Amino acid sequence: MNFHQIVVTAAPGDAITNQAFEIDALMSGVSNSGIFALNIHPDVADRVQPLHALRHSNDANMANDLILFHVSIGSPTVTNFVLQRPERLMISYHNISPAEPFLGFDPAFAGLLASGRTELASLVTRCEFAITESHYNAKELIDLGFSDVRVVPLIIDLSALKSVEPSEGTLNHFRQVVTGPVLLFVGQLLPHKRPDLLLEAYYALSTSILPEANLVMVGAPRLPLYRDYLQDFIYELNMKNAGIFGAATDAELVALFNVADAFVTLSEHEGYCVPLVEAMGFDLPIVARDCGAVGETLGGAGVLLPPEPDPLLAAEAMAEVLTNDALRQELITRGRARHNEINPDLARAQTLDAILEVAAP
Amino acid sequence: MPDSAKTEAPTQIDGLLDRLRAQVDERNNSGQYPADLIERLDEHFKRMVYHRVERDADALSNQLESLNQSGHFSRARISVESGKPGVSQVHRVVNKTVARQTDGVLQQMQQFADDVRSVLASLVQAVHDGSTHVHTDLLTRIDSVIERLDSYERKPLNNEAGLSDLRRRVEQLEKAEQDRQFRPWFTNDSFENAFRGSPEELRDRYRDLAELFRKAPEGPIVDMGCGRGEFMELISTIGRENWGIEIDPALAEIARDNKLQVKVGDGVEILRKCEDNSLAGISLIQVIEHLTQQQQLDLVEAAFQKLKAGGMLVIETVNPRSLHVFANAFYVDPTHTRPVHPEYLAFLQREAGFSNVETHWRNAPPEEYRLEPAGDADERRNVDRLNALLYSAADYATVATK
Repeated sequence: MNFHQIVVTAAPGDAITNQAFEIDALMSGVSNSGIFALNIHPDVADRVQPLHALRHSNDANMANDLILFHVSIGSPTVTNFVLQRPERLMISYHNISPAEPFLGFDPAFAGLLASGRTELASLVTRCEFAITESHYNAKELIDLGFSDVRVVPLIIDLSALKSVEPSEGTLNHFRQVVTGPVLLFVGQLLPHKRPDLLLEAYYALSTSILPEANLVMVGAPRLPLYRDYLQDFIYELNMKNAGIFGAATDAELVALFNVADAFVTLSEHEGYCVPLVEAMGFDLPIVARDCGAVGETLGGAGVLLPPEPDPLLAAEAMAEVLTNDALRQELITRGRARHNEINPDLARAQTLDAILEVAAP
Repeated sequence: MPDSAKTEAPTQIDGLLDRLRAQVDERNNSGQYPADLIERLDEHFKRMVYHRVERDADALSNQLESLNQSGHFSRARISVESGKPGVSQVHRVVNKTVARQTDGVLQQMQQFADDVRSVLASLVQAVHDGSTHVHTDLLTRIDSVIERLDSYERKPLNNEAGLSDLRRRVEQLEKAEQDRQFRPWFTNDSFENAFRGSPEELRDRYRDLAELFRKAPEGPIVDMGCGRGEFMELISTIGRENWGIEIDPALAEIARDNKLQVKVGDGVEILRKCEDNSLAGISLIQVIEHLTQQQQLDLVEAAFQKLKAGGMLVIETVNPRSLHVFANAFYVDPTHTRPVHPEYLAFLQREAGFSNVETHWRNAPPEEYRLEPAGDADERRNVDRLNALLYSAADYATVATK
């Protein structure tokens, strides 16, 4: 049997690409396995082949082969390609960001996301089995009409990240220039992650509760225009100790996890939330909003704020987490326990199990 | 929720949200937050965003609405009245005679107009909502560009040969910074004892400088870089209020053990936090040669700002005009950056605004060090000049008055 994985974009450091690599390693032992993508970053070109390399043949056995399609964003080219393939189809759903928050900033991108949901629906009849990393995502699939859906934990292995030497430059900067506690946000700087709300909460925190607190926002600015709005917001409100770090290398990310005192996100849409798991792995107490799959990712570790936007409550929670040692300790202990539950080997076993169940004739 | 979280006996998280909400209410009620703070912040952000995003499709909707309000094509709306006698009758007859043809034409026009309206409605809807008119090919290309951009941003330095040079330079800078940070394993106290003298010796050496502050106006005198506090003790003996600043916590502790008041931290930063025009005097004894050039500038500026009228700034340091200093005192201390020339220091103080700046030469090297005059008058003159260059006063102090 041949087993092919298809992703829209393969890039180093990308969570979905990493997932595909993990599954590829698992499946290479039991089948002829490969990864195909529409957009391939040069750094991973040796491990990923272009879509057109996956050829049609008249071999009747192709109907026994299996494609695992990772769905996370609209791409009409890839979806049409998948729909025309003769192989059996399963999908791994990593959620599609809602289009609405992007309309005001980037209508084309909003269109892409909206089209992603339509494309996902078009897969219902062809797809035999769907796996996804959260119950929140699973519900979306079931609502769309997917019949066979299983929640399989994401394979998150922090051992590689933890073995990275932290960036000396970043450590030096924080140790010598920055005073006061550091709040860290990691995630793409996109409207549905609500960095604007986070800045409002930080404004209340730094003007009325804990003036010495710092906020560092880390993440690729996929919409440069939106990043500019946030930057202007910071300037106009004179938040001197808040900063947009932008995209970080692994070494910089590890340094930031080391120097931070707490992790905070007020995102209102998460299909899972890998940075939360990373923060728990680096012993950071967490403040987050109970939106999307955030609650189930945290599993009781972290201060879970209600889903309604409430920056003042968030500011209070941030101050508490930074100053109440007993609370910090309890959150760190719970975070460690939760992080240990998200065991990568268990996730590997469950993923392999799910794929083999479908693959078995 | 995982079992581990359920079985723990939570202490801090229970009821946390209620406590936090109560704190928010308290801050709101006590007026700590401005009224409608969050609404105003929301408005602020929206104003910035809408300022740039142009979305003016409402006018189109209004025009479409008025088009929909206009009536249907109808023969009844064609006027047959005329002001000329008998012509109205003719119109009515013609109207009736070609009624079949007129109605036929009007019906086709109506059908066409309805179709056009429907198309217009779709167009206006599409203008309103970007997600309804997805151009597949374009989106795929945009998608690909965005993804590539994203990848490059994730690894900004990887593929640009020119930037590897930048990375190398950053590493050099980091290395230089590490070297700059001097982390001795001996204590500053033992260093002071070995090279600067015992507390008793220091008190004898600086008594005259402390005496100068008798002329200072009322108010506290601050000794920056006070070390173990010998100079502060001298100031206390002339009955003046004083406190010190010391960056080394261990030295500060020794001073505090002697009942002296010391703040630990960066001197210029602490000085800047003092109230303007509040200090009677500021002293730096063998300190300024440890500072960077920028710190020297910042120090003199801040001192002028914080001293009251008549307040005195006394800075004592090694004298670079005496070459003897470089063979002895200056390079003993590895944390010295560079000596400060007396003329530059006096210039700085005058530029900062000090009205009177005097230079006192101090600690001439022992007489026996000097070259002995011998030979004829010319040779003796030369020896004198050489002695002046080699063995001038080892230190100097500038006394600047605001």
